[in-house]
Amino acid sequence: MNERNNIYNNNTKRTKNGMLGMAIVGAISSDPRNYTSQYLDIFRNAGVSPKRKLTKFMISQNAVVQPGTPLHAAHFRVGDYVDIGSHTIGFGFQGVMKRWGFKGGPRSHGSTKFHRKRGSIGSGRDRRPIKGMKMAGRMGCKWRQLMGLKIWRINNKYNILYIQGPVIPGPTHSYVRINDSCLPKNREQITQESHPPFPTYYPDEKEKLPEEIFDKGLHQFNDSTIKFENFEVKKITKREGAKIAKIKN
Amino acid sequence: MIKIYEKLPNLLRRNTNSIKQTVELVLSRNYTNTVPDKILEKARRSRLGAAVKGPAVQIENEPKLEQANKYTEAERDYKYIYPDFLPNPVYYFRDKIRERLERNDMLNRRKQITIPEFYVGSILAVTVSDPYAPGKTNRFVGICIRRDDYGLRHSFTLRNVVDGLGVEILYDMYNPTIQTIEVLKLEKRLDDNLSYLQDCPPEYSTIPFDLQPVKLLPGMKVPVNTTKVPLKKKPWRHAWDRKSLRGVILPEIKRYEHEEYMQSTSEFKPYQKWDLMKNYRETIHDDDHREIIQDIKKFESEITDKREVITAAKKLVRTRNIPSENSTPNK
Repeated sequence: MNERNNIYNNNTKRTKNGMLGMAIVGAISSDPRNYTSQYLDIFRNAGVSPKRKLTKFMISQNAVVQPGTPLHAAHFRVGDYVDIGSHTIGFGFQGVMKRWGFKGGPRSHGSTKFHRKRGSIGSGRDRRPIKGMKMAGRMGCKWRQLMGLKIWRINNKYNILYIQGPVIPGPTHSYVRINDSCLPKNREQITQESHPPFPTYYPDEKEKLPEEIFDKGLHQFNDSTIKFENFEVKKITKREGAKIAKIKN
Repeated sequence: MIKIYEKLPNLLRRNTNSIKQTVELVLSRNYTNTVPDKILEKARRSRLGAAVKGPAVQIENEPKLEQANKYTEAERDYKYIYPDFLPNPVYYFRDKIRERLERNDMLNRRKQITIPEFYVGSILAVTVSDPYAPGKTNRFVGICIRRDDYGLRHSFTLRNVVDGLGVEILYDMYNPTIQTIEVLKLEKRLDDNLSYLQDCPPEYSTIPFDLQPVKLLPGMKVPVNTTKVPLKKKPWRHAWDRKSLRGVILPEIKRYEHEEYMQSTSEFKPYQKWDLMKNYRETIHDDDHREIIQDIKKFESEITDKREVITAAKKLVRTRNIPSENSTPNK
């Protein structure tokens, strides 16, 4: 086993309290005829078919994984929190109304060529435009990260995670980077007693996982309809000693 | 050779203008960070993939789809009875595995509740469980104005006039708090979107809450209500005269008699007749049609054993009160 393929120890500035290594993860195996020989050398030394996309994750020496191990959706657990990073949808060169939400000008009443433009750039004192002025330009295709998103459901047959959140950035069928959340609230939930499978999930023939795993608070479509029979409505009581306005006669 | 069936019914979306513009922008851009569909589907079925070597669950051999060269009329009508199972016409937003999983969720929900067949213009009664209401339930009756979205997000709106105030309520079809959906009167209208009833007199959208259900025999065709509704004076919420609506009586103005005015509308596009790609995008592919029908047939075979629909159909045959086809609007 070549250490060079598993851990790169060149960059010592990024390590903390010891040695952190880099794990390279690949996705979507493809035809080796489409790539150069230099790119194929990486996979030949590891004994893996060539992949379309590569990323790297910083890991400690405990979490080293042998090259060639597949990663499943069971690497995460239901109820865990997760950080997601990806490039957003790219809209190209866009004007000021779509990019920043400006209002533009009136459509009629004598406005000459001022329907979708921005107004002034600066004041008369400095005789130069304001720094950071919002203008037209390329919109989208930026790297954004969303922190602390919860996993509600996992499908082990197709390796699918059901994640809650306002939105996952990026168009459909785009690459997305998932890792355990770094927020302190979510890290407190990981303890020696209850923790996700470390270093990864290794499947066993004896202990097979179910096809779908749901969170406790999630309503499954197999269950009966929701009825609020035991729901108690809080009664609003008036405050004592409160001042009430009275109309003078 | 791709077979082209009839056109899909129009499932309009909320906020159509903003979504149309983003879709046009997004489709015209190239994305380097994405995986093309051909390569993705190949990788999902290939033996080089990691999921096959060490799976958590044994992947069963997927059953081959039965090739059917001819479809009966009943199978073609599935898209009118189950319009929420239709695929999104924008191929960019689609994913086959997600659609397969959503279909399983939808059919599991349909085993708990009977979601009947209804169209835009038919009168429904919906009971929803509400924690703050007396009796913990809330019942609303109204005309179905529109049906939006595809898959689990399918929704429909009901309209009624209560104490002189027009009310429109939007219901998600697969909301787990919905207890029953009853069809009080099954009929169709001349349009797919009846949101113009806002600007019509309130007589045409009032429905009494005590309405008794009208029964139809199982072999009858769905009746079409050919009433035409007059519009009030302007101002209107939307420009109903610029949309090609058939169930509307426009006011008598000289402007509408000129052909140039009607041709300047946004809906008048005679060149769409010869737009082959638009026709292709609006039709269902043979493979999608097969997958949807297989799931629905399995569901229907399971239901008939449980619910004893056969006995209910026998009761309907015994009734002799056949309603007329040209039914009058409710007042």
